[in-house]
Amino acid sequence: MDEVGLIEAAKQGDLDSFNQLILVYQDMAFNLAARMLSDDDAAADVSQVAFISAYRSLDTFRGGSFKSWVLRMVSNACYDELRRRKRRPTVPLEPITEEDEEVESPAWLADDGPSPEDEMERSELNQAIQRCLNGLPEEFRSVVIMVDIEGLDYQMVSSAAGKPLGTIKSRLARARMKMRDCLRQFGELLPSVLRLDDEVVP
Amino acid sequence: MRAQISTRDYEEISAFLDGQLTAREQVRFEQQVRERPDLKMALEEMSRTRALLRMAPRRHAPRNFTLTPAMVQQDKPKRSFGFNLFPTLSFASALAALALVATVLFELMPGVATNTISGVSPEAVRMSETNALMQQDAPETAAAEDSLNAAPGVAAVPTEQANLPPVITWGLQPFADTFGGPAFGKGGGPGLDTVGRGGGSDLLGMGGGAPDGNIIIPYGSVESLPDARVAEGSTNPQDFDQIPTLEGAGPILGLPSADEAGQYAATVPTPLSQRDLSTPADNGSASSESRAINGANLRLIQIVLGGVALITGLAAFLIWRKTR
Repeated sequence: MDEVGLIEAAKQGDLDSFNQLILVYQDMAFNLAARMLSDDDAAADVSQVAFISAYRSLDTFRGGSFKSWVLRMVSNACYDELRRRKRRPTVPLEPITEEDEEVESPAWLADDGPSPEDEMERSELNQAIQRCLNGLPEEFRSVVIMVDIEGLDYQMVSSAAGKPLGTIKSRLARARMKMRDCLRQFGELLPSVLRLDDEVVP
Repeated sequence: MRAQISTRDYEEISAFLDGQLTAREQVRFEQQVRERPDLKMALEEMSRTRALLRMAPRRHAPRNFTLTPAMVQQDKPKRSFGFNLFPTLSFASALAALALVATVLFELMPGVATNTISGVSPEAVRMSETNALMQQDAPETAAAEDSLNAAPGVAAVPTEQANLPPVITWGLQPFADTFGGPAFGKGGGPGLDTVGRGGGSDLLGMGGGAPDGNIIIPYGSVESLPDARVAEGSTNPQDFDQIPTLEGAGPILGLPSADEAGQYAATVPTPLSQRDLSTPADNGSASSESRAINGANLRLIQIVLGGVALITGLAAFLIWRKTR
């Protein structure tokens, strides 16, 4: 059954049809939430809440891109979670050694398995990007995640964010400028071909 | 060099990298890149930033988020009491604030402020000034009495008459000229309309009275007046001592009884110097008092509206802070 058929069946109360749609979009939803919140557990909770909310408000879907509609649900749930965090800030748990001293690097959270060199570089790049993403305003962050990480086009992002196309273009350009300035601090961690310096590439 | 790059330039660079420029815009942008080294450098930097972001690993869902019937059959989260109350409170606050503004504007309207807002009306102020004047200067009070007699039918305090604005009355002027007329505004006085109410004597302070300056209420036959001085305008209290006092309650509109015939219900005017003008028994004071009451009511309404706007607004703000 195609997507439109699944949506119509889900509107009639067919939960299995909606679950098929969830399986298609759950990675995208979780990726957006994880990048927005920088917390996998919270991202999983937010994704689950967003899908429940999407099913309950399926009647409000008037056609168009279902992907954008789901992303809108997820991004709204992320905004709610971020606002909740601002109201009730939490202190992250830090690892403690046997002598009750804090471990500066949370390496204990990393996978215990052997880590190849490229995997390390990839992980460092990922951490640098996530750190710079966290420094962006929420509206800029969601746009740059959807365009540059999720690979959505401007029109779809405009629909998902509920903002005009010009606003999306402007936010994306500003977000990229901020990301460029931030990533420059991690020059040595970045792949050599992508290091951001002031030299003009001939 | 980079300072020359504007935000607009960065937007064009970003759109160029994503292929979002039209063909014409793209040609123009490429021309600019060839001419401007700073733009070219900015393009390179943003291109590498974009490539870096696209290298970021995609995160996969740690589990399936498929829904179960139990999940979707849960009751929809009930909106809290505060959430339901918020629009009501905010609307009430806005409404009260608007009403408050309306009353303040009404207060500022010309002609309204002087009549209704001030707790003490100008007439009352003038009355108290007159009172003080009379208490301080007895000769002047006597002169005021004289002027009362000399100017029959003038309804005002003589010593302050020159300072008072003209009082305009409507209707019943011929009737007032003949009998003193009913008590209208500051003028009027004891006439036929006040016979049954017995309010004539207290009106002297505001200059009420018959055209000849006396407060005389005919209650029987005019021809049987025992003392012509009454009709001649005398204000000496001793002149009225011989007038028999009316006993019993006579008919208001009917004929008097036989033993009451020929008697006169006359009110002895108290000399002005002996009267307590501070008592608000006259019509002018009643009018001033009415205005003062109106002003007090308006002020009370403003206070209540302000209180409602403040309390509901504060409550709405607190609920908004709690539920957002």
